[in-house]
Amino acid sequence: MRSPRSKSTVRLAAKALCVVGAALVGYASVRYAEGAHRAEVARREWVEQQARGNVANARRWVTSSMTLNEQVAPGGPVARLEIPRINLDEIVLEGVGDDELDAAPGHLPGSALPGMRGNAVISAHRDRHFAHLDELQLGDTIRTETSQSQELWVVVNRRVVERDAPALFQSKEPLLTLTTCWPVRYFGSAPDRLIVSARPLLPLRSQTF
Amino acid sequence: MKCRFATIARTLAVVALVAPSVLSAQVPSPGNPPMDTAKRASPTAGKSKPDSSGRMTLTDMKAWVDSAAGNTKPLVTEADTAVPITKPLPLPPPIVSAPIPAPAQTTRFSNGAIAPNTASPLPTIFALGLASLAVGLVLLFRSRRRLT
Repeated sequence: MRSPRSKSTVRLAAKALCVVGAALVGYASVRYAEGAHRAEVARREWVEQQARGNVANARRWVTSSMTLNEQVAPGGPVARLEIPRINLDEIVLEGVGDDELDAAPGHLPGSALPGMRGNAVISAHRDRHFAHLDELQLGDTIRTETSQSQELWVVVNRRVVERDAPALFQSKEPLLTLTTCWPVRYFGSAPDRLIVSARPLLPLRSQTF
Repeated sequence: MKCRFATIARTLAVVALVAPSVLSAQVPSPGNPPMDTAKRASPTAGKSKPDSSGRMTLTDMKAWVDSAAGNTKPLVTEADTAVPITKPLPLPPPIVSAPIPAPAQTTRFSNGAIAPNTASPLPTIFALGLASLAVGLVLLFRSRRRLT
């Protein structure tokens, strides 16, 4: 038979657990909701940006030599990424910080934009946008779209590296690199990184539209 | 009292509906396809092993300091024994290396950079919160049932 004191202690502990649990769940839920909201805002911005680009292109205000790297602010939409195999269609934001990755796949600043010469690096969380990246097979296609070009890529390599191992390298040719944590299903902080590389299906073309 | 039980039951039902989608990334899946073994095949893919000498523990420092300073005194003299005494070999100098710095987080592209940190603590936080919430509710439920 428990004493009244121990019963009250148990009740107090139970209430504390409820409060802490609710706080943790609430915090995570708010962050998820913020990410979803930012993703929606980014999609709207992307559509507006595309519309402005179309108008500007029609007026010949945009030249194909412009580079988006100099224009995009951190957190702004830079590209659209479509991977049919995993039903992914997301707007890519500039930056790989927590805020960007909570909302959408992030483009690593300093790397090339998809469709430009060089290595274009896009990263995302394994529990959200790249949750099924491990299902990509060699030969699968990826479609990217920027305000300057549309590109179709084919997956040519996938590998797993330790999180501290060099994984990103410069390339003279167009290269698309997608990264996320590995293993995809893992409790806690995943120790490795999944790197998927893709090459343009067709020779690089600068297709303005 | 019944109303409270009903509230708790409803809360648990909502949690059970929301949890699976968030926790799916936290459950180890045996169905994961085996990855390419490029990690082993590619010399650039592997992480270089840290210098094991950095983990040496320093022992018998007094003897080493004495030997380095030339103050080593034999415990016995030649007069004490017929066996010739060999001079003690100086201990190798201890190798003290600086701690290996952790690679900086990649926030900008550079040649040979590590992959950006895509590890998110949110699923773990959500799972821990759900677990503590569930345990707390169960404890509350049981203690209240005993009271009644």
